[in-house]
Amino acid sequence: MTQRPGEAQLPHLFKPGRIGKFATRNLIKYGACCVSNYNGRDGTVTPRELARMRVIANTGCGIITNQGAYPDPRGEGKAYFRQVAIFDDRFLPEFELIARYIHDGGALAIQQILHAGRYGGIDLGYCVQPSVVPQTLPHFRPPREMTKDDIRLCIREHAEAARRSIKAGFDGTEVTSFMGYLLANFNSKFTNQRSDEYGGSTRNRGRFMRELIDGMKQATPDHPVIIRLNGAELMDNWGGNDEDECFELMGQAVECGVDMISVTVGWQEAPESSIGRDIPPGHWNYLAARAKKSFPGTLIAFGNRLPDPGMANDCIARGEFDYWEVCRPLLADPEMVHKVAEGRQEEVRRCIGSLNCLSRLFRDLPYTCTMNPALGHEVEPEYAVTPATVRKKVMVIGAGPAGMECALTAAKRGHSVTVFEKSDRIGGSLLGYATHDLARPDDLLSVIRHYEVMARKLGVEVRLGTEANAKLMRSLLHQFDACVVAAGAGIDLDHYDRLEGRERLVDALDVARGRAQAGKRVVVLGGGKVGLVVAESLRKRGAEVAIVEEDKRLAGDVMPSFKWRHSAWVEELEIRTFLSARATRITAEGVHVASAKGETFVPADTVIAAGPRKSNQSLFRDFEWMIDELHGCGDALMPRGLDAAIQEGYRLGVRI
Amino acid sequence: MAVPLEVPDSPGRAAAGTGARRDDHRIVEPFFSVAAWQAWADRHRAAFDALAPGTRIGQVRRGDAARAGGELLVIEATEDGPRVRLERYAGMARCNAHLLFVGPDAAWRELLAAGPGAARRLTRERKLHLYVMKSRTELEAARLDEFLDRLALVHPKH
Ligand SMILES: Cc1cc2nc3c(=O)[nH]c(=O)nc-3n(C[C@H](O)[C@H](O)[C@H](O)COP(=O)(O)OP(=O)(O)OC[C@H]3O[C@@H](n4cnc5c(N)ncnc54)[C@H](O)[C@@H]3O)c2cc1C
Ligand SMILES: Cc1cc2nc3c(=O)[nH]c(=O)nc-3n(C[C@H](O)[C@H](O)[C@H](O)COP(=O)(O)O)c2cc1C
Ligand code: SF4
Repeated sequence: MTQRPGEAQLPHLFKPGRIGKFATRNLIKYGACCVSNYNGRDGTVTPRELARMRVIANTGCGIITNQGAYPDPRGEGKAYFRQVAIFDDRFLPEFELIARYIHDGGALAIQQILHAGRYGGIDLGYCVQPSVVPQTLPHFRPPREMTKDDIRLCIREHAEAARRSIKAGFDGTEVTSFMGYLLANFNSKFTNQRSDEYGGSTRNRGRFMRELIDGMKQATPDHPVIIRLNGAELMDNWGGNDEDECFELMGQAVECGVDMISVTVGWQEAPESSIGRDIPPGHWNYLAARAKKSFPGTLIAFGNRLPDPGMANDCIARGEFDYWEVCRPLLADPEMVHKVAEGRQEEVRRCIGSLNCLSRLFRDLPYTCTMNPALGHEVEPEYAVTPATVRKKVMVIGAGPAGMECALTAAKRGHSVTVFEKSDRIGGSLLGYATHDLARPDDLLSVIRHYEVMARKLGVEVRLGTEANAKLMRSLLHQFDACVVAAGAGIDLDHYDRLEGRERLVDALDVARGRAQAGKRVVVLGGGKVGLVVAESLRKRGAEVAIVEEDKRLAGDVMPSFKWRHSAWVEELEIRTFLSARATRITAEGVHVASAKGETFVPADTVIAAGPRKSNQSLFRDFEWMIDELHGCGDALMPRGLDAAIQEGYRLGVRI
Repeated sequence: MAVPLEVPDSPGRAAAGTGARRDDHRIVEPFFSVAAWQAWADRHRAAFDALAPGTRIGQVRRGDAARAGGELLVIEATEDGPRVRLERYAGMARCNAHLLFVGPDAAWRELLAAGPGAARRLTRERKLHLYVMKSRTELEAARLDEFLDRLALVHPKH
């Protein structure tokens, strides 16, 4: 095949590779990022999963790892309600199909075996571990200690699962300790407190892993065995392994002749972030570099929080690792590798680290992706971008995420689309959100840049500085077939009707967009996502900030995996909070706040209204008799967040 | 009132609550003073009234947890308010509690001087380690879900 322009720009990434006797077309490994929760409760693969796998198979990676399957019939290794199983030959037909899809897509097929150990037993009410070390999160189940017989059985089951994978047509297998699963539980001195030969010293703790690798290698002697091991557990505070111990364990895996080590970071219980947006890309690269330096003769795969292909190419060039193991960036854009190879990198839709995917897994829901509304719906033709039967002229009101998503999707289908935006920029509320985000504004801004690039490319006209109203509509009568109201939401100032001094309130969205300035002493009314983001940002910039929230806790409308970040920021930044409280009076000097504990006066020069939001819906009424089709999406229907705006914009775009 | 308890000594067993330092391995005064913690629990009764009767919250010193032996201070929610008692700690596997807090002596002194509200800060600051000893359903029945939710300790973080 001739070299594509982008391949020449990133020559290291697109270099052919080899693992064992198998050649790979490039040095990109699709990391097992697909415990999808799409499958049967009994571990069977569903058509939904197969459709998703067809997309994964065509991502253009050199190696594709299929999602972790649990290896035991008891379900002790099962971590998610709808995780796939591989403990019996009856599961073979679907695995055969998956292996075939991957081969047809030109990649090496690896099957991951995932025994979740401490995080397993989802249907059982208990989990198994090397020792009884209770959970630190209520999400998981109380532990039982594994006997030596249990250990032997478990190793046999892994070996059987490996043999079955190869029988299904996979080229190799992988066993994962990612995020604190069984293998990690044996390796870690936090969860392994045994006094027999499987516990104690690092050597003893590594015995389970060594026997596991031996068992799998003996079962599949001609096929590579890959192991995912932590470079850092982030469990030091709980008495877990330090980095030196993690590397000692990697050394033991190398001794056993493992074919590749995939270096990962963190446990699910780790008190800090490992792959969230608050971790800068490349943060953990040093762990991979250390692994490569320590074990130069073993292939090292790495990619945790390394979303940029250019950066990955440079790491490979510097010899920091051999394969870029990438996961979420390919959820957000399954075409990423092809776009990069074709030199269309600016068209890549970036993963923004929202962690909606994992939030959903931990709510026992099928995973979806904020940035890729089709993910998980590949089996449904209704979610596919197909040519429109009737090409229409579509007007979209509002260039926020909902409006832009709808506009671009409709344009891809052949509609002629014009976006009317009253402000001078694309982005809507997301701009204010990105400006004040403490985690990593660039990720959020990348969404806006993507819209700008794609609007140009798809020929979507964006009329900035143009407010849509009845007058404008009259001037455009009969020029458009369909109108989409994606006008977002504003702060519901009526909510403060009975608040004395309400005329002193400043709108949070004005502060977010820089249309209003806050002073040095600020009280924010409302501790939901908008209030929190603004409060944290102002505090970070030096203001004294207090939050008054009517509910009994903050962050009520924030997605599960970001709630704790806000709690941590509020505490770290020493933002004063009043919960189950409301402002009763605003004066030039400050705010009177009432709660069950009585009334408090909080001095302030700026009081920001960030409480309930209200959809901008007046255009629905105004335009009802002026256009053939009238639709709405995003916050204009009901104030929610970025995820809903993108998903809804897309869903409307594919059907309009 | 300090309840004598036969426990082996652990390093750093300094006087706290009403406990006194002893260097032998026989009868020693416990580190956790039942009287002091009962008074503390009574003072903050509202925090415990929210729990279902029978809910047990355990407290163990870090050293005792490490060697799986020592004192277990249990605060149990009852119809008549929180009841504090001292039991023998014999490791996590045999610990009958819904939640177990493990921490260094300084953290226990700090908690005793403050109120149960400080448990949240101490846990966040990782001075106290919280172990969840029961299943989610049992925690819900014990009405501890809200408490854990507020600690932001419900789901994995990543
Ligand atoms: C400070 C802040 C923090 C936030 N934090 C989070 C968060 O943590 N998580 C999360 O998920 N979400 C967060 N959000 C919310 C998120 O940004 C919005 O939910 C999302 O942008 C909604 O998208 P949308 O396209 O529906 O509406 P918007 O983004 O509001 O876009 C609507 C657009 O319509 C334009 N418009 C309105 N009326 C007209 C008209 N008559 N004519 C022409 N144009 C018009 C507006 O100018 C705007 O550009 C935050 C928002 C802010 C401001
Ligand atoms: C939805 C989802 C499912 C995952 N499933 C697995 C899995 O089955 N096995 C595994 O070892 N890692 C799994 N991971 C972890 C990824 O393989 C990867 O290590 C992690 O997401 C960090 O890499 P990234 O920054 O490229 O996403 C999963 C991650 C996500 C987001
Ligand atoms: S849901 Fe968020 S974190 Fe997960 S892949 Fe999509 S953009 Fe990335």
